[in-house]
Amino acid sequence: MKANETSVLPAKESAALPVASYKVVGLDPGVHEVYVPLISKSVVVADITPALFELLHRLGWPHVEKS
Amino acid sequence: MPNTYKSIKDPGRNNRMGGLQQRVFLAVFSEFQTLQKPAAGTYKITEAHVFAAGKGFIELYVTKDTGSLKFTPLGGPDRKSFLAEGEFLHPGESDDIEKFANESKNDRFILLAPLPGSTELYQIGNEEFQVEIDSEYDTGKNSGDGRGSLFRFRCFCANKIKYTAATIPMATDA
Repeated sequence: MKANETSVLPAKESAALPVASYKVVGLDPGVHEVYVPLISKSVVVADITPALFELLHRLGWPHVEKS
Repeated sequence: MPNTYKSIKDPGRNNRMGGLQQRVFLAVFSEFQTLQKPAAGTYKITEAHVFAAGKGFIELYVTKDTGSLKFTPLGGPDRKSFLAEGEFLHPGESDDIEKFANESKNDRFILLAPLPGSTELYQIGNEEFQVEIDSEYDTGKNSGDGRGSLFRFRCFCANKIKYTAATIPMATDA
């Protein structure tokens, strides 16, 4: 290797961790927003974030399912 | 058929903080599509109530240490039931709370009262009797706690019923 030359390692594909995805189950289709006593909070069903899905799943909310 | 009773031993060190959480839930009785009932022989509603699209419960903010609920006995021997009574304070006089105070006094509701440190709520009102709400507004004095509306609610109840469903359906823009 000559001076001032840097070696470049071949690009490696990054191994992405599998991200769990969740879905809401068992709610009446007309329901837009629900209060969840487990977290003492109202949530808009369409706006549940991955972090909130994770929390609700961990707490055992029966309306969230890993897909 | 006679009732059967079982031993009820030390209930342990569960949280039993007094009063209500800093919110109550109310829904207009006429807007329920399905008002759930406890299963036979139980005193808990475990399934969420059903409303038409966009309808549901509203949440009312309650000032800390002002929300309470009490069941007192009604009736005489062989015909006893409960009178549920409670109150909560909502601060100030926003347009929304004034509208609520003016309109709710002539309506009938189902009320869910959340207990602190618990996911359980008492449900007040059912298909037989519904909750009446009265409000009292007081400016107080300069050195007092401040202005607000004290809401009082009451309802006849054949039994005390808890609501333990995993969700409370909320009205759109509740």
